[in-house]
Amino acid sequence: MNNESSAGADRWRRYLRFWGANVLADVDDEIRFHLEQLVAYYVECGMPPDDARRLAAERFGDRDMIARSMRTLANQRESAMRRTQRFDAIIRDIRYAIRQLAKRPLFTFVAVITLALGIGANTAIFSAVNTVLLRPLPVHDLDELLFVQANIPKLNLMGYPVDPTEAFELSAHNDIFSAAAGFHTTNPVLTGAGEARRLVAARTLGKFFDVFGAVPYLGRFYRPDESENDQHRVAVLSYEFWQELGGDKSIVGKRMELSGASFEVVGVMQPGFRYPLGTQLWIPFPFIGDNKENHGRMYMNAVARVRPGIANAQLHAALDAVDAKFHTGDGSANYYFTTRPFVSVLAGDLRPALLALLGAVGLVLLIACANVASLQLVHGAARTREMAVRSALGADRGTIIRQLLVENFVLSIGGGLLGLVCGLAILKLLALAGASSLPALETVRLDGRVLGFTAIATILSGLMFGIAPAVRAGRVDIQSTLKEGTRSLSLTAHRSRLLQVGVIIQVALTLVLLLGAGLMVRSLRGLLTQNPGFVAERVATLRVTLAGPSAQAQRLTQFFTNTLGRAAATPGLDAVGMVSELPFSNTSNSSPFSIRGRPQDPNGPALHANMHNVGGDYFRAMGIPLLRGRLFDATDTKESQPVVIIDEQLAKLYFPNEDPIGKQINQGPDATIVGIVGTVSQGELGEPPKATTYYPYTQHPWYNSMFITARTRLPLSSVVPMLRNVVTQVEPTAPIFEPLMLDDRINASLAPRRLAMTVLSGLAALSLGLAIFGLYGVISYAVSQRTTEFGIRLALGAQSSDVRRMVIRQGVVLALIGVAIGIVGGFGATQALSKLLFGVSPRDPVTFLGAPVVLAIIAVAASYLPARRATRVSPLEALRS
Amino acid sequence: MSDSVPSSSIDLLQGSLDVIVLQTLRWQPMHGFGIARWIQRVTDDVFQVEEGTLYPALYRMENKGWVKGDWRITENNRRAKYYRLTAAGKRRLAEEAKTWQLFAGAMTKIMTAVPSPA
Repeated sequence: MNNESSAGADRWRRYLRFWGANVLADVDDEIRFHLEQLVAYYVECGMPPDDARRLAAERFGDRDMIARSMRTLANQRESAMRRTQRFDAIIRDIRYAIRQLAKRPLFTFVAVITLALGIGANTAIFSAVNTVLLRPLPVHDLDELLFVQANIPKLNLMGYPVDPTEAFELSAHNDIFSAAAGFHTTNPVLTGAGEARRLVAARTLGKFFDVFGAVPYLGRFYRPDESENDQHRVAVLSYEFWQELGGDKSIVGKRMELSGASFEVVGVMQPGFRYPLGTQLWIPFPFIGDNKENHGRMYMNAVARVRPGIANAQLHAALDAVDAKFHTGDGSANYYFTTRPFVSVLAGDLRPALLALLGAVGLVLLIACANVASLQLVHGAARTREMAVRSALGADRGTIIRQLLVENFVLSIGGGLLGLVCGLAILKLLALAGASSLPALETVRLDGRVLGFTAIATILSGLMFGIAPAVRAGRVDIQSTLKEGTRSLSLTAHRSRLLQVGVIIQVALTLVLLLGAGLMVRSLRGLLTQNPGFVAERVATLRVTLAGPSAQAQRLTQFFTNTLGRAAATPGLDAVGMVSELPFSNTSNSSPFSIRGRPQDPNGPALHANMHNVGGDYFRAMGIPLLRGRLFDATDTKESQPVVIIDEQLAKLYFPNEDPIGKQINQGPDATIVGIVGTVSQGELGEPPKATTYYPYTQHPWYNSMFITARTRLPLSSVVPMLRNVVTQVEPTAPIFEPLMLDDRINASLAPRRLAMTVLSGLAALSLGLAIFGLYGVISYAVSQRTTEFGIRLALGAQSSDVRRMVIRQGVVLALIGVAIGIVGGFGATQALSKLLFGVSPRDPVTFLGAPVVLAIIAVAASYLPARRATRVSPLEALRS
Repeated sequence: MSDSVPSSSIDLLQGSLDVIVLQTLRWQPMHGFGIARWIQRVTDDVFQVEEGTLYPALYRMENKGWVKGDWRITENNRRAKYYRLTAAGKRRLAEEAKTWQLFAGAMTKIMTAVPSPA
């Protein structure tokens, strides 16, 4: 073995190492050493060197192959080691971060809570958005689904259901729609299986199941042709209802008794598909007789799946063709179809409310981040020395920034986890507050998508509040910081600018939220003071139904008359009436009519009115005033002249210059107008009124189910047993349903707005708290930085009021800049609320004046405390320090 | 010189190399060549360790954490990679040794058994 070659090898090895190829070099070295030793051993045994070398090489075998397998193994070890090291480094950073945060428990607590509130609010609202707007139904390509709606602008009938023939006709346009259907909700009574139950059923016409691409869980769906005659009494049960009935698979083929008719169960719907909301079963709509022949009764919801790639123009041409087929005389100005995306109808008023709230929680998260960032900047100042020491000890800027970012992520992950808990709590609260009035919110829950959203919100907030302070802290000037010593940590111009920007952002965003909340509060107050046309307080309502084959006209009339008679005689019930549909029950039954002796005017308003069946003392019980003529009484019977009462709206629209009393109209039956009553809001408070007609059930017993309305001073809990008793005495098997005070029904119709108002107010309050806190913190900090200056000023004879004013002015200037930006932002942001507003403009001057003033006053208050502290500076101490 | 390899030498049984190497390192760290020589010497040249299996085996055991290699200077002032037993390696050796003793004992009994009287 000669030394030269070994020295050369060593040198070579060093080069290999220099380039970081140490695995290659090590393997090479190890083999070389082995061979050298082997040769030396052979030589020792007495072999000539050349032979020894040859033999050693022979003995060793395929050197390249061995080296290759050694290298592979060594590389595996290397990468495993690097992974461990990287992991260890992260763990070390996290441990260090947690130690650092634990040293500042108050800061950590406040930051985590602030983030948790922001992230929690986002999680809760996003879960609602997710359930209600993003995946409301297990249906593919929801965006292809459209509602087709009828509009009669002159009658304030906008976005109405269509009549069955129109819904049926849509299916003919299968070049535009891949499937079309009509449906409406009914409430059949299930009998023959224990106590009678009132069910929620959808009667469907056309390819209802194809429109939604629904799949049966068991059995089959009925075919469209089964829904077009009355031959097939078949039903599909919802999965949930089937479970309720026991979940027996043999149910397919069994029969059930619905309102006296026998239906065969042909299938069970896939789980999770409950459309319309709460539907327990689907049954075919019998498209025969009156249902087919009588035109103009608008109660069928038309829904269609439009083929991909169909232009709007083609769609509307098809709708116009349907229109033209049934409405030749009155032209499109009087009657036309429009479409609305299915999803937006499904969510109804909740959609604008939830979208507004989603925007609002986004702002809250921004405020929370700005707040934590400010906190960090203030604390960053206190840590400047720590950073300077660390960089003096050799930590480079990247390391320090990384360390701070890790700290921020630890904070934000803490906030995110706690935020998830907060979000769940908020959801619970929302469910408690709105469960009865907003059934769509009942099913809101956390799922993978929500968790993903929360994770993203957490990471984003970590970046938002973390980057600026971290980069800022990385830019430490070691020398000056260390020289300055521990005490006089100067508020550098840069940091103070960042802090001020943070406060301005918080104030501006808070103002936007305050404006939104203010507008919602004013709208709701406006709505609640609307006169609905009746006196909603102290009216108990519940539904009575006479089911089964016994429900013939004669028996119905008797049943209702006896029930009303007994109820009216019950002490405690002041006035008792009956009506087919209550106001605020979100059902409409608008039908066309004609006026005897007056030809239809093609340019005048189409003749259309909501039909109601009433009985007993309905108008008195509801507090609906009689304006002219008379109410129904005992003389209006099957044998007497048919009569009708109209409302003021109808009188104004169609009899502007004449007395309607005594005139005859035909809306199915002929009837003579005997009275005019006040107009009543039918759908929602603040909605434009619709023409309405009332027919006595004694002459037209159209419904086997009516609402009893009883004016009473008693609570609902004592009225219900009384009425149950009355009904049972008349007809032992007749069930009663849906007991509710009338004013609770009205409240339910306001639930989405109330939800928006409540949550927005809560968010605004939260933001206000954060903004005050932020402002207070920044001003306090500024004061603490200027102690010396204040001391000098006071020593030179400045009044403490001067100092106080100086500090407050600083706070107020910041707040005013924020307010100005907030007002500008508010002008844009409140537009998003316009659908939820009532009686106030999105730029309502009262709100836009009030909210900024409130905020400015609060800003002064938040600056006052630190200002007072500034004046307490003892000049001597300040100068000495 | 191929005739210097004793004809009675046998190839190491698959799987037994690991335990032999671990046993070799039991008292002191050694480099690869040392390990090979030691085995040859202790078994009176019965076991011939092939480099083609020894080094990959050492590397594999290093990956498993049974041995640890360090570069050191030899008595002749040369750099060599010395392997030493780790705690995990010692545990492994103890397990393997037990198995081997059982196996060897049983094997000896079989090979030295005399036919038992019928």
